[in-house]
Amino acid sequence: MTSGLVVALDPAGGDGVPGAVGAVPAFTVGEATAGWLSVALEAADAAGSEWWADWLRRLPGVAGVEVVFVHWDGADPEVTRADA
Amino acid sequence: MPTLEATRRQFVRTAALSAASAVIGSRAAAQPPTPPGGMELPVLPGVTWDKAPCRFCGTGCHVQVGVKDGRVVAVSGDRRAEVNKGLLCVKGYHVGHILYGPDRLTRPMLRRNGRLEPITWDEAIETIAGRIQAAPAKFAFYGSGQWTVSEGYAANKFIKGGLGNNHIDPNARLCMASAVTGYISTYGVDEPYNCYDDLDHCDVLILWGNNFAEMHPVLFSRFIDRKLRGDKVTLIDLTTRLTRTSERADHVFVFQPQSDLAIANCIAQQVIAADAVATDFVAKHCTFRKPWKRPGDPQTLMGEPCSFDEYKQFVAEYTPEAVSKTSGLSVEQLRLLGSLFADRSKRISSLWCMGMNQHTQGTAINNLVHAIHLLSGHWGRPGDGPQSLTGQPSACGTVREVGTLSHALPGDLRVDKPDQAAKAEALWNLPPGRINPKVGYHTVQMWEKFCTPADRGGDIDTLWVQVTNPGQSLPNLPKLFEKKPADKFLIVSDVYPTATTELADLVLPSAMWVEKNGVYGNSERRTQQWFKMVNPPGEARDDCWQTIAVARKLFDLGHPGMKDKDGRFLFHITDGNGREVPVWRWESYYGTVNVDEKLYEEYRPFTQIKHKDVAPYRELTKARGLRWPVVKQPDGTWKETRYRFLEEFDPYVAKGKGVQFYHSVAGDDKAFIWFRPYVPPPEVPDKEYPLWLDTGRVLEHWHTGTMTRRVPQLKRAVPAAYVEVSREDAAALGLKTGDKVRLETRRGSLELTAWIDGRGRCPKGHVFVPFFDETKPINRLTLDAHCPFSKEPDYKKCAVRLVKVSA
Ligand code: SF4
Repeated sequence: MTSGLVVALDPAGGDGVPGAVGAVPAFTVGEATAGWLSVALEAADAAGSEWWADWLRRLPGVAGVEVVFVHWDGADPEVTRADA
Repeated sequence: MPTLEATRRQFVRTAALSAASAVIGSRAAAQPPTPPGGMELPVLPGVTWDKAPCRFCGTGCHVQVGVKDGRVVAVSGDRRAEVNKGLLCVKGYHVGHILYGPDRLTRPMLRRNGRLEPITWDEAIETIAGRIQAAPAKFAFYGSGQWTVSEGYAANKFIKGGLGNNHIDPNARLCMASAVTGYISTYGVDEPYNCYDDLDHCDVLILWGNNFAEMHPVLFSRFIDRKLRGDKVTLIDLTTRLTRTSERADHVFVFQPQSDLAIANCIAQQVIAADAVATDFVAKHCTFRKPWKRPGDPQTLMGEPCSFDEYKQFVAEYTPEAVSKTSGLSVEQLRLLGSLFADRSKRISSLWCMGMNQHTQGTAINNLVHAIHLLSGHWGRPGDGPQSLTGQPSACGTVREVGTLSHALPGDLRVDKPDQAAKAEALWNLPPGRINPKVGYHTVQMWEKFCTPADRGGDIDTLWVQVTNPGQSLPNLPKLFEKKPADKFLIVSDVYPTATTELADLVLPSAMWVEKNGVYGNSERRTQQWFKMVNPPGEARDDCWQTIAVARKLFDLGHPGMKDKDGRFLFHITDGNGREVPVWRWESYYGTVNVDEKLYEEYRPFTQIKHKDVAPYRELTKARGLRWPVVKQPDGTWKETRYRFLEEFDPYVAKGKGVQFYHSVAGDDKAFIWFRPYVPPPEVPDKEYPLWLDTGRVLEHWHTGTMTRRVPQLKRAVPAAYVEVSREDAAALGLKTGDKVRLETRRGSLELTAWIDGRGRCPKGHVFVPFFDETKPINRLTLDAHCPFSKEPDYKKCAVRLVKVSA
């Protein structure tokens, strides 16, 4: 599962975010412009994707994470019964 | 050498990164840019892309849907879309998943001996037509703000132009009917004059009981972005509990339920006391209105004229000192609100949604928020005005514009106004007098009549539900849903099993979202179109087809209402050669004609009657939605309208007028500035039930959760309903997070897990429960008392007690 994310950097303290994110193999870091950072996130499945996105949200210096793209890499999206 | 798999992954990764970079490029630029490489979509082998609006809230974000081998495989925020500029919230991110749950309904099913058993579509259509033919006046249709425009239009025409009983109402009655009556009784015509652009221009944003961060997250980001960029903007959260919105607000003012009425009047009182009334604007464009002839008489929707001096007297008692006692806000907080409205150098945008609408005084509080903006002159400049939001993707497009409320006709016409009904009859080619002038049952009445035995006045015996889940979303479920008598017949068209299908006698499998053609209309008058991209599963079919197929069966059975005045079928659809296409047969429905386009174009002339001209279908296919009125220019292009009633923007304002409320109630081009008094809520906490119960939504789940609870990521994020309890109340009850508690109201009880200082924080004396969880239906406890004018029930406040069950 591959996602494209826009990370809003905290104006006071977001400088370290690109380095911290870039150190994680699941992420590919793009450009940082005017307080935002573009990131691609690859994970084996939806649960992994969710885990890393959550990690990113909690990273010091991150003010918010928004999603702009999601691809299921050929696998069917994982959907269950509501009572599962 | 990279393997094929590595190359493919690289492709997708690059696509993801460039999509994100392009959005950032758009956001960072002062001018709306074309990102490097244009607006092209990610290049992915074998994937075709097409546009569609997200179906998970009223914001109306556009997505690009990637399809490969007949399945949705990717979703990308649409950078061409002005609403979301490429961004999506967590629900939009998963919008593609919802098509693929393992328990999608795929066959029609009829209940026999207590069990739902598969039947054919022919049998299903015959069953429905047979029930209607036997008692047409006892049939009702219950629809939705998630109906597409054509679905709602077909159902509306079927009932009002065909059966003539007017018993059709949508679930949007439960979420925005008070905004409708508020607009109509203020400006003479429904729907906002302004648009989301206000978020880009306001200096102050006031949220009236609206958890904007969770309910309209992409719009909230649009505003918060301005803060991140260093704009000096102020966010005021007027709320009854702390939410994620409060975390980003500059001021959080926690008020007592129902006291929003007093707060609004207090603002008016202060504007007058500060001599800050926009005298010229008010004199030219407004008149004053009181709700009764004399104080103490029952209030009416259209009220009575009054003078400024009378109005001034009415609001005089709402001083900050007095209102501080009713509202719980401090005098300083009330003064701050008053001083903001008294200062015209700042642009103030007021936004609201369910908090103001789901209110026994819903029309009144809508009137009052419009009133303080008009009175103070905070009206008409971009960023300076009041605007309601909707919760569903087509509450505006399909409910308000198509007129699927029980009193309405398309284009803001009414069944009970003979001249207006005659216009509809002419456009539908019906014999004069076909439209019944008696208003049909509104939602609460309709379900009450359905759940009451026939011998006790329950005169609805067959009810067809499409695209909604009343078995979970109606208030006071024990009374309005669970009491369904065994001899009454409930038909449900849906995509998944729900609380409503549990009681259904006939279940019809429906196509959803990009499994069908569709048009929606969002909260800012933006009409949005999409094409079918994938096939629905099994035998699932479009709701619109289902309605037309039943109408045709009735036509064949000789029902006179299914014919126009020339004897042709009510849904007479022809191909390019003028030959009728039998669209009632499924194999012809997606054949030589686009039924969605045909019905939309049939409907479009209605919208021109009250200057709400929606764009031609062909224009919509090219755009990411267009805001009506959309008017043809001399060069042949079509132009949308950002702001109505303002000469600078609206082509229907007469030259030289500046501002013109051209559908005003009094016919004088003036809006009403209303006084409405504070009225206590119908049920307040007492010794027996000492706490306030508030209900609502959470970011991750779409209303009753029938779709989002099937997406594991969303379900894991918020797996079950809970009750938010304040620290003080928790201490008094000896509760800690995770303890089981029973909530009891006069209508029912429910066991939930306590969450103290969780995602939201209630003040002492209040609890909050979200309604998305089918296994914990909080609406078994809520109140069906409703606004006397909008008939919208109050889900936001009733009295409750908590009993600790176990640790
Ligand atoms: S804000 Fe609403 S319309 Fe936009 S992506 Fe989220 S759920 Fe969809």
